[in-house]
Amino acid sequence: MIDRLSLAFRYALRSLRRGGQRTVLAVFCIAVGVMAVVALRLAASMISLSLTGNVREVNGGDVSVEAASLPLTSDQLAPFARLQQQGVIERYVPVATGRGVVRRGDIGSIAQIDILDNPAAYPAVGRPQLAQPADGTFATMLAGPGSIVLAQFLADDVHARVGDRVRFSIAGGGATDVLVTGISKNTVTSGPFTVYISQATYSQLDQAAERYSFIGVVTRDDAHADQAAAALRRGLPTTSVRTAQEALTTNLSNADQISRYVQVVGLLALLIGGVGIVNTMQVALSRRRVEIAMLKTAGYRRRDLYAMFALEAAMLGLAGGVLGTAMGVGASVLARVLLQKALLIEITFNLDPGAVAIGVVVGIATALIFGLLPIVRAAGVRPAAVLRDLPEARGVGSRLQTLGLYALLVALFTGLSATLLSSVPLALGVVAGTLVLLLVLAGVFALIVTVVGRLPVPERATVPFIGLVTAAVLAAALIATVVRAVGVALLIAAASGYLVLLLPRRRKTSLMLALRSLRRTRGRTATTLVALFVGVFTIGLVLVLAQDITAKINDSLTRLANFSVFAIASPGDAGALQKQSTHLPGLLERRVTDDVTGTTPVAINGQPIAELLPPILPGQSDDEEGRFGLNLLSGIEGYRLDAGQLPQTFLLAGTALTPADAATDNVLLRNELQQSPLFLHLGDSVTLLGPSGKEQRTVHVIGFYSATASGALGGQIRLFLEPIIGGRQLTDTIGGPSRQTIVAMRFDPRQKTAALQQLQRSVPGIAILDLADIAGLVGQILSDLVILLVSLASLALFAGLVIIGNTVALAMLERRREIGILKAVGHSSASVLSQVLIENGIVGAVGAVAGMAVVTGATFLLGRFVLGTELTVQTPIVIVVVAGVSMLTVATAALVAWGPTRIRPLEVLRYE
Amino acid sequence: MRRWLPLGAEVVEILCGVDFRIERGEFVALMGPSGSGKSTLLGVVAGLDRPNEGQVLVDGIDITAMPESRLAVVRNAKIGMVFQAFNLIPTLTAQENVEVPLYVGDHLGSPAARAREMLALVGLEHRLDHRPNQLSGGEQQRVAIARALATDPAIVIADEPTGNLDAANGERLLELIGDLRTRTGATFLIATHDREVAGRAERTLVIVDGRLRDDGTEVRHPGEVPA
Repeated sequence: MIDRLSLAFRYALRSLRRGGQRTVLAVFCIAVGVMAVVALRLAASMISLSLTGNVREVNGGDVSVEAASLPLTSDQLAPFARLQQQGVIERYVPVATGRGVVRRGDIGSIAQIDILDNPAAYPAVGRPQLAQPADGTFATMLAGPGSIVLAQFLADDVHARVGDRVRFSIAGGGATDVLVTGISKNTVTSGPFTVYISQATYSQLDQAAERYSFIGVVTRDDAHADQAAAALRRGLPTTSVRTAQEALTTNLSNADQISRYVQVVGLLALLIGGVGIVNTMQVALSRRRVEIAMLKTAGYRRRDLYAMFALEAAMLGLAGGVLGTAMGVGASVLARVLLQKALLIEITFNLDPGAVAIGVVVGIATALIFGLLPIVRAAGVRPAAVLRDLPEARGVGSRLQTLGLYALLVALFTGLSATLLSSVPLALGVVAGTLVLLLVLAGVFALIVTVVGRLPVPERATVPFIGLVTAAVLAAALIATVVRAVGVALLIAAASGYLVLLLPRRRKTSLMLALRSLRRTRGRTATTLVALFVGVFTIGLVLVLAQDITAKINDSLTRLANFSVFAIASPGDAGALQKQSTHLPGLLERRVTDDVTGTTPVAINGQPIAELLPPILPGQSDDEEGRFGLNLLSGIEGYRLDAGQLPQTFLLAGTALTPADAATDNVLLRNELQQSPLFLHLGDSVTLLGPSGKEQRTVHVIGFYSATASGALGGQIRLFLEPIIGGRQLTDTIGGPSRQTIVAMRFDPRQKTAALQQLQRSVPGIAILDLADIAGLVGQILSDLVILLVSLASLALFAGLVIIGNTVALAMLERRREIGILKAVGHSSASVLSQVLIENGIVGAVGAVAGMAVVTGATFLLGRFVLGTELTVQTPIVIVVVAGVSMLTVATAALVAWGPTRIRPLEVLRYE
Repeated sequence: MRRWLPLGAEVVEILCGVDFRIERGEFVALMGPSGSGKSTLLGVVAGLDRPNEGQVLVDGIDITAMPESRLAVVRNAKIGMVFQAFNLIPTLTAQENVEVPLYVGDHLGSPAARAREMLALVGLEHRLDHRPNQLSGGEQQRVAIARALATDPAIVIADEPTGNLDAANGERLLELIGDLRTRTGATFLIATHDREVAGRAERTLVIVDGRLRDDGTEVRHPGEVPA
């Protein structure tokens, strides 16, 4: 038995070695799929660890209380004090929040301010996650007045380091220079735009009473945490209370979902690789028909052959699994970097040994599953084939066997998927959905290949041929009027028909043979096209969407928006700002409003708001159930209606504000407030509490507006810094000393920078918000996200190219005799190679054009029905993708076919 | 036995009532031109093909209607085959090629030892670790013969064994076959179109158009008695 195993092992190893290029390509097919599975699994594991690793810290305490929509006043913290006295909780750390701007030189960034009453007590659990100083504490960093700690992302954005001074202004007016004393890491708990300051520093800019939106609570144990959570839910019904255990459960569930869906991507890469394995092994084993028949004459039965070839497949799988796992670990390092940039959180690298082991096992399993069909077919070779070349059986039984094998392959792959996804229904859905899609695509491409393969290559110009090309050109031109980008690509392809007439005879022959070869191997070409199409589609979609969305955001924020710069001043600087902003260089348009930030809705039509809100269930985030809509009642933009300054809104219901409303409390609200949870109507009254907590005012809803509208040229945005639109008298009354004067401006882009510098110098106490900074930020985030997505999509394209290489190698193998005959009758190596390159160039171009055509359709549908805007595909992107993919395909084919086309005819024909 | 194949609407008879017997230890040549049914007859005798009518008995075992799985056992135990194109496994050494049939079926002793013994018998004890591409045509055919003899079969069937060899090598191969017959008592059935090769056999069967000619062309060499 050992001797037999030893011989079988040697036979398998040497057969693989003899396979040479074929073996390498087969190993790569497996490796690509395994790499995707391992890399994505590791990345998901790292994200999961970040979410669940230290859940107390992630939660902000043993119990966390969030009140972002309706921040709590100091009085409302009484339940915490009570629980502390009772010994239910050990301590609690309230954090107030605000909004502001951090600016260094010309670069500014929005900031989410965390105001710490007692820096020494923060965070409630764990140590601060600091980039600099690594061993710092908030107590030391915020000890002195005028200190600030910035989040890493924000610090990088404004190019600030520890020891730098930055300009810090708050939404309620007031600005000051502060010293950067620390930089915090981007974590799940600390957002990318978070800044930390002490209450002492904040109160220098805003004397309004604090409103707390987060309280971290520490308890002795889980039982006390549950007790505290129950009491807080009863006492503070408008807040979201969550224990660390609940957070863990939620985060585990979320991490599991992320992992599962990320694994789907890996499985699809594995499937594409598997297709390559099937066709590699199929032809490799068919070349050994006589060898297999000889083994049968020597007495080897089917099961003996199954075992031998299964060992060979397993060895292929092992090699591919090990290589793929190593590549996957490397890719996960890259994925971690990209994910950190895209998600704006710090992710700890974690090499999960389970994922590594799974990679190797998946490699072996994939090779065995996809090798099943070729192995069974090969073992069915008739022993009589050793005496003469017998064709393979094509009877009903043979076809049924093939169908049965395909069904078994699908079943086994579904089993593998279910194991990786830990979900049978999801696996079934993914596999079935993918199969249906692939079959449809294969059918369509088979049709396209049939048509392309029948294109004529006349020796000289004929009327029918010129007529055909002209018709194609006209059709492409027509398509270009509707779908420009793809139409232009088709136009170029159609017009090349005229160039065919100018080709020398030798090249025409190569072209003709290439087209015939395509037609002959329709099935295999269609499969190759499917693989290529998937890669082109994913990359194309990511590139087009990213480019289009980035352009739209930039366009919207800086061109389509009515104003792109906002100068914010406290009452003390309001006069100076209005005066200095009147004659700035390049100023095109200017608007002055008086805003109040941080109003709190307390009642609707006299009914307390707490009674109108649905209860927050345990574990539910404050932002769910539409509570984010409450933010749309936090802040009023006051217009000088009596002076004829009317707000330019996109009114959806009711009436616009007029000068007659100047002395009233009539307001316009955002249309989203008509939905859950408040369901406001025209004529409703909303009672608002001012930011100081003292002033209260009831406003009347006379209209609902939208912040965006679609115009003839695309979207338009009207920017309002506060969501409630009313008159100045209202903001004067409710805002008191907390109101701000906002001067909204639009500049000639060439003079904007100089103008803003002049303004900042002349009124140092103001905050300047430039939308170009936001656009730049969004662009950077999008860019990082695009890199991540393109990297993932590249896996599909890479797999497609590997399959092309495989297919060309196999075709060269099968056509050795044909090549020998061609060369024997006078064709050169160059002409044989050119035939192969033309063939694969056509395949690449067809796959790329098809992929981009579907991208065009998909982006149109996405824009129309999902994003509510027109998304277009730029012609240069299509041309670059089509040209690039075609060249990649040709290069791959050249690399693989170079050697085989140089073979000597006698060698081939004698061998054959 | 008879063997025919459908060809469209017609039926092509390949073997038309072939009837013969080979005794243990005999050296029989099967002669016939291309298309005479020679390969088909060999295939049927070797259990690679089935007759449509008639019976095939190998060492007393009726293999006519035997299922493939059992046929494989019989082929392994009772039949050794040698081919014109040698058909050695290119990735295995000479010794490993001879070991191949010894790993299936019931064979006593070490496959490696038996393989070395067979290769020594054919004069290739110095080529054990050489791959086919490192051997000459004649040497490859000798390895094939060693492989065929490794399982001590009831009959060795050779299909044009000298077809790919030059005259000198072909001669040497025939001498070897004669020598092996003497030393092992093996039974040989050799298909050939070469009269000189056929002349080495004790008896020649001539097949033409699917029929064994019964006109005195069955040749028995004087002095050679079947074992």
